[in-house]
Amino acid sequence: MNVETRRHLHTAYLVRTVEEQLLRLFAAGKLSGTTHTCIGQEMAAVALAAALDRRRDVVVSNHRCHGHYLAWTDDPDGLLAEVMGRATGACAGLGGSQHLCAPGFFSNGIQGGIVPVAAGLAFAKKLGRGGGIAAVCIGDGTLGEGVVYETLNMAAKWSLPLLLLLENNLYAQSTSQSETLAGDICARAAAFGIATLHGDTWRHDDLAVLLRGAAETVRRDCRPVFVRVDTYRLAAHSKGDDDRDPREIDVYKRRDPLNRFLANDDAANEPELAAIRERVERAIERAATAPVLDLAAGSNGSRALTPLSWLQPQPQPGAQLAAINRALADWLAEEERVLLLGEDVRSPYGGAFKATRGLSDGHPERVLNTPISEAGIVGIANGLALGGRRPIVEIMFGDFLALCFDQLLNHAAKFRGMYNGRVSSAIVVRTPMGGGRGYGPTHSQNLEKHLVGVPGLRVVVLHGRAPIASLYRALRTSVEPTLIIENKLLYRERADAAPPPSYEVVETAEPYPTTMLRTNGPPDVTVVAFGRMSLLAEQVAAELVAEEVALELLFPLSVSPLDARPVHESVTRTGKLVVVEEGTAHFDLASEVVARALEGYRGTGRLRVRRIAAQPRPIPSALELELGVLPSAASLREACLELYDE
Amino acid sequence: MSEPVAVRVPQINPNDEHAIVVRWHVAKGDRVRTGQTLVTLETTKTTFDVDSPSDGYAFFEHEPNAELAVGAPIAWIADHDGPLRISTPAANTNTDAKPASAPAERFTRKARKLIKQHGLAEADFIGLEKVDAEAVERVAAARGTKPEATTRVPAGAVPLAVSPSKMTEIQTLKRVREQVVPSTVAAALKADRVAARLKREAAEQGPVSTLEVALYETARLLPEWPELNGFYAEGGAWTHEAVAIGFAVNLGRSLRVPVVKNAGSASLRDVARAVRDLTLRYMRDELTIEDVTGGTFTITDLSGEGVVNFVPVLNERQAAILGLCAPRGDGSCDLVLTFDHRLSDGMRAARFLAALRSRLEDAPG
Repeated sequence: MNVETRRHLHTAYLVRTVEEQLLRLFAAGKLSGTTHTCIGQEMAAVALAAALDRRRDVVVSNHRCHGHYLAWTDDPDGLLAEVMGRATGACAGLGGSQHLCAPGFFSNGIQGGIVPVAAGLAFAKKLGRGGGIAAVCIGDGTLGEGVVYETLNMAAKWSLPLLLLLENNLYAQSTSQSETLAGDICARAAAFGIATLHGDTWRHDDLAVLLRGAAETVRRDCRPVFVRVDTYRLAAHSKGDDDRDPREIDVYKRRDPLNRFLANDDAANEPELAAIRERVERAIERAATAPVLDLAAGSNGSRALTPLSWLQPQPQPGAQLAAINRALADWLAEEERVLLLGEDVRSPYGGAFKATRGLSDGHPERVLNTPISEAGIVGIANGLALGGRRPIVEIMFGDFLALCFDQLLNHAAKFRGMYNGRVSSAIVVRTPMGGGRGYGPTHSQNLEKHLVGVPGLRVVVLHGRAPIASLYRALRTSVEPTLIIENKLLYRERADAAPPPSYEVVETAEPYPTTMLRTNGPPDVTVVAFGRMSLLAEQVAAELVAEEVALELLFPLSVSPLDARPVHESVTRTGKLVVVEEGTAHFDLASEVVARALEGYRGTGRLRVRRIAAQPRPIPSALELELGVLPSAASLREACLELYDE
Repeated sequence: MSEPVAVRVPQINPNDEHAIVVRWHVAKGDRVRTGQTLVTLETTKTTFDVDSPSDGYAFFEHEPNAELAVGAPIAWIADHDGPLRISTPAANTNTDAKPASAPAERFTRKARKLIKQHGLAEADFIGLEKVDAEAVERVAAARGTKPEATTRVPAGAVPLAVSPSKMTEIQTLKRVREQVVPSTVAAALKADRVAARLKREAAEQGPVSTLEVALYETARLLPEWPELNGFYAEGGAWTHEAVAIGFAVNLGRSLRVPVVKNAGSASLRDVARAVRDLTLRYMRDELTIEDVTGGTFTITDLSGEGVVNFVPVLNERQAAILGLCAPRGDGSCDLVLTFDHRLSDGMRAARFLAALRSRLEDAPG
């Protein structure tokens, strides 16, 4: 047995010892949650780590990640303390078994979704020109998820240095591959023109050579390679959930390379194996006495309540579409890290709504047309952000965000929180929403309410006076993902349009300011308007000048998180609040605004509220019907006057 | 061709914010001279004529019985008899320039709200093209109203028409009620002895009514009860040197209170003549503002309606009001006095009634 083989087997023994200890701790009721062991599969992780260069490569793993993590980091303390929920863990106990982070290592508990993230990291490596590559570990069960194929397509098309390691253990949780998998595994990757290789963990020396060759190919040719590694999981999927035939398991136990190595009873190994066991024991002891993270002390979610100051907005000439285009152009020019991805965004088309018109002319290598793969695009952007880039994604219609939701919710919004703030996940996703153009049920929606309230995801909704340049200035220093919801009908509006007679425009001195339109007299009714509804609000304010009814209009830019202070200040003056949004009624943005307004209400008398939103039904295609379903200025006016009269 | 001259409803009495068109003295488009009477208007207290301010042709829209706010144009005098062109006020011009907005309402929403809060009515602003908050505040200030909490109207309630004059009355009564501490006492007259008195007077100087005799005798007594001929103001009690007694008339037209001036020095014959003269003028719509102002005490006679007891309501800036009731079955009829308790008390008031009773009744036999 050569030295390298012995070293690999010792690493595999460390992995198995740690995982067996974890199973014992679970059995003893000392751990909560769950764990997914890779007992029997360790050699794949060991061979992968051996094939990569820790100084420049990156590994992305899945729920069954302990082996990958330990082989990559040799850090049982970090893993054990993490699973035991201690502040000394790899992610201070925030991530746990499935969500680990170390230099050059990320894992997440969502299967297919990690693949585009890894592709994005590979893209960042390619752009960095340091020769680094990314590897992603998936299982045969992951092949059931579509985003894998979106990513295979893009990785091949864009020649990304991505090593795809598929550990084929024959089962997706409890279900046999024979029930769920059609066709051939490698043929899937091959269909995208990706080179495929096939090995297994039982001939682990061959596997090490295979993976080393694969990594070299990826690095040298800067293209993806797909490696299928057949293996077998000897333990249950997680803890006790195993319905497989014990005779089948026994066959693989006897074949297991580590079992065979240990059965050889080579006395020369024993001191080292004992040292490994001892190391794991000590790590558990240290973790057991380590403190639990003090979330309150480390919280950056609260901030001192300072009085708001209101400023004149910066002048913003031209229509909103031009302002967006200008902001994107400026950012691309100023920061080499910025990339713009989307469907049909390059010249001459310049995006379905022309927001990116001409941008690829100046930066052809950083403005990229993508296939129609919304989840894959956002996933790749997530990887780019983890890799230090500043990706901006255009999703052609906001309705398609439904396809990206996993990437926004379980990846972008989670990274910083579950990795204990160790990463930046500053992607920007821009997308137009809204009706009024007769595009029908799946191209006219305002889906904000489905996307807000996600911790770690900022949702910006552009309104008619949105300060685009300020917004993009704030984005430059952001480390969190931001979703910018634009509106098709606002593209032609001007932020410098004259306000309603006797009204002035001011905004809070915040990075994501709230815009207010106010008169110089006492206001009668507060109107919080989101997105395009700012136009309706201004129209109603103008109409009500003749009625001597003064509105105070608030247009929040950041909807989630929402700065409720302007609302508190205003309703204290008025005691009357109307919230208007273009999305459908009920469980809507207004629910949050009203709740927050009530929580902070210090006015005299009861706070009276009205909500104006679209009728809760699919947006009709026929324009006349659509206009009947969407909120109207007349309904807003009526609500304002109703409250006024009370 | 110059702009037509607007003729506006004048403010005759501080408490009147509206007037009713009684009759036009000219026809639309008539040539008129300066000083020529155009129209007779009526307020809660009086009727009065509005004269043309210049020579020209008179144009108007409001028909008799129309009600107009004080200050509203009632007619225009043009220097030609062609079609009348009047500049649209600025507020309307603005609205016209904005076709997207709803048609301009005469009342701003704020004005409507304030009208409600002040207990005013939209009818208080008849004739104004545009009623804004300032206009409402002006009227409210003139009437001294304060915004009041609106009473919730339960479902199923049907609105009743409230005339502008009634609204004025409501405001006045509300003011009285806010300030005055009213109290009421009553005494019973023997109807047959009053009848004997009237019979005696008729024999001496022609027929007189209970009201006339009561007014005459009250005038005799009031110098001894100066607090009942007074009023409460500026934190203190005041009395009038003169006695001028008003009597409530409501004979199918609206309620009026013409005043018998110098009642204190008038003979019964003079008092009777004055009452009849004022009543006739009331019937003819000829009461002037002088006829209905300056009262220091009021008598209200509901005996003709068969009312045997009621509580008269004090008038503004008066200390007392006397009510005359119809005889009951037992031959007694009530004298009721409502007075401001800040100026008097029950005992003094009772003694006043007793003294008045002995003056009204002839001794038996």
